[in-house]
Amino acid sequence: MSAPLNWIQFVGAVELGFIYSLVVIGVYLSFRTLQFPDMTVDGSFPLGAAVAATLITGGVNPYAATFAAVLAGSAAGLVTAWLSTHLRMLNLLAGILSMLALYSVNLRIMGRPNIALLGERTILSGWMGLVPNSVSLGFITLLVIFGMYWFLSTRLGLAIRATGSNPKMGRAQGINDRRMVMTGLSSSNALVALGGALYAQVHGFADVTMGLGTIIIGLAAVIIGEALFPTRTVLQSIIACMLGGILYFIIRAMALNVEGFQASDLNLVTAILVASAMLLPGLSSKLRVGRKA
Amino acid sequence: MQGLITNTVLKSLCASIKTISRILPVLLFSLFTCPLKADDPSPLPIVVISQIVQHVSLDLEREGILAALKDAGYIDGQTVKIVYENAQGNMATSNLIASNFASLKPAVAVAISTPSAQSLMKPMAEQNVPIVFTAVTDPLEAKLVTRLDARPEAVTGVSDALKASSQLDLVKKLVPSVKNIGVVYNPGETNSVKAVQQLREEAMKRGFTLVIATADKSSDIVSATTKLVGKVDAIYIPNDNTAVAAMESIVILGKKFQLPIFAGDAGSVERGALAAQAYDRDTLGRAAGAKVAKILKGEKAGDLIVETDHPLVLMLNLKAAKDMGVTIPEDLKAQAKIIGEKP
Repeated sequence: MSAPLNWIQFVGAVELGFIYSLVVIGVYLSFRTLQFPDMTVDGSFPLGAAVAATLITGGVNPYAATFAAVLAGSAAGLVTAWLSTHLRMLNLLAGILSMLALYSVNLRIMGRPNIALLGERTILSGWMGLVPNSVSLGFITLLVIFGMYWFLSTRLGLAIRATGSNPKMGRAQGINDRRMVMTGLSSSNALVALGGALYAQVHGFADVTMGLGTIIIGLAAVIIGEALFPTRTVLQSIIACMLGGILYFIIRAMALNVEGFQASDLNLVTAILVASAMLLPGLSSKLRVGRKA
Repeated sequence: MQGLITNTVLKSLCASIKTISRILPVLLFSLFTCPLKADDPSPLPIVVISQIVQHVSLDLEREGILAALKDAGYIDGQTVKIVYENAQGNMATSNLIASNFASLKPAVAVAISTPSAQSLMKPMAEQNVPIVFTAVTDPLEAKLVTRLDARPEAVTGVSDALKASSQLDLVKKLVPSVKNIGVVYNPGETNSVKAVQQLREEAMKRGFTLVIATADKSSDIVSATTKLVGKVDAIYIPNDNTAVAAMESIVILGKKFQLPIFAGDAGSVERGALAAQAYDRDTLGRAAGAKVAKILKGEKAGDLIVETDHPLVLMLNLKAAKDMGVTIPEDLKAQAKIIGEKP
């Protein structure tokens, strides 16, 4: 049997995995920590790309452009949180509305649907250009993971986690749950926008339609990661998210290699993958029960 | 009794779930041990084709490429190995396809559409694989090439930019009294934005006014078109995927309000639009295919010019002319490809 993936494909999938693990960690923060399935990410991912690409082609320093993208993402998250907490909108609807609005906003920011960044100076072409993209992206992801771990261990982070697991109890402890949802969603979307900004810089373009299905990638990766890797502590959970993201792209790259499989079948592969990942924990506990009996 | 039935149903359900969960890992395992595309040691030169989405014009281009390759003696499976993937509109998939293609070490990579070409750029440059693109409107702005003639980079192809002047001239010929021309398009499509920008410049030169109506999705096209009724003398639909998808509904409005509908593609005329000064997609595909064949024969991609000028075909729909109240001059009829029976 030949190898299911060769080196170039593997590196390509890992690069995409690293970029999207920022999205996955963002989705983990909203979906798992705050129990808020946040559809905004389908809009904040291209938002990050749009802001970064527009500023970079406008001559702005790529680091500053990336930072601006992060700020824009966090603003998008704030809007969703505000819709949900202050207008008492259903959380799914709040996210969908932001996502919808962001499509128009992104078009306005870019002024056209597609901006090419090929040949421009990006954060990966400076000192990071000395090492392969996968290494520098891995480095950025590790920084984010430890930043996230630190954030969730602070008083604020603990309050966010408490709000997610039991909002009533949190309120009883004097936690302002509205503010927690706002902080949580704005940091989550800031991470997603950072992912979008990196995507545009690594792959050389920003496109207004590139956000399509971002939430699916995020949720699938969170579920796969949680099913396959230990998640006893917060740090383990975040690392599981990253590994889930990388694994997701590796499996998709492998599926593309299978004779008779087309890119249009990949969504089915994702669905089967997520479904079987969700079956796994139940299956293993059932086996354990079976052994005892 | 009822309890018993529910119990049995539940039991059998549980049993089937158990079977499925036992089979699933096996299924997944077999999926990844199936015959693989990647490491197929092929003695033939490989041509990879990446396409962003399934679409009549794009499919016609691909068939044109294959036809041109065949004419040059490159037949899939005999003298060349052709690998084709379609990203189905998903950018992340388009990138995965690009890195999968890079690993095949192809002789030439073909991109159908701008995002496909942009995804291929980096992985192919790393492997020194020349790229031939087609269905790209503005290769300069998409940063695929730095110039159209001899280039430092190994990228060439065919641009499908339609000359705005010929489009407006056709409208003027069929609707001599024209003052305002309506344009319906999706501002999210690069090709359309570019086309409308050029149309606006050319319209200004001719003293026409362009009235714009935009829509993000095909379900909004009808209301966008309706907005133009009463304000324009004719409607032009550029090569916009969103608007073209809703062509039939635009044609219905054209008939209802006696508004001539012009299009940028031949397919729309067959679907009921009045006229188009259009490219034959097969010709464009063949032009790109000819470039692929030249590179396979040893020419350098950088030395091949990016083609921008192609012959236009005039398409006329006589039934639509009758329905939309337009009289077509006889001399135009003589040089056009006529669709629909004579009125």
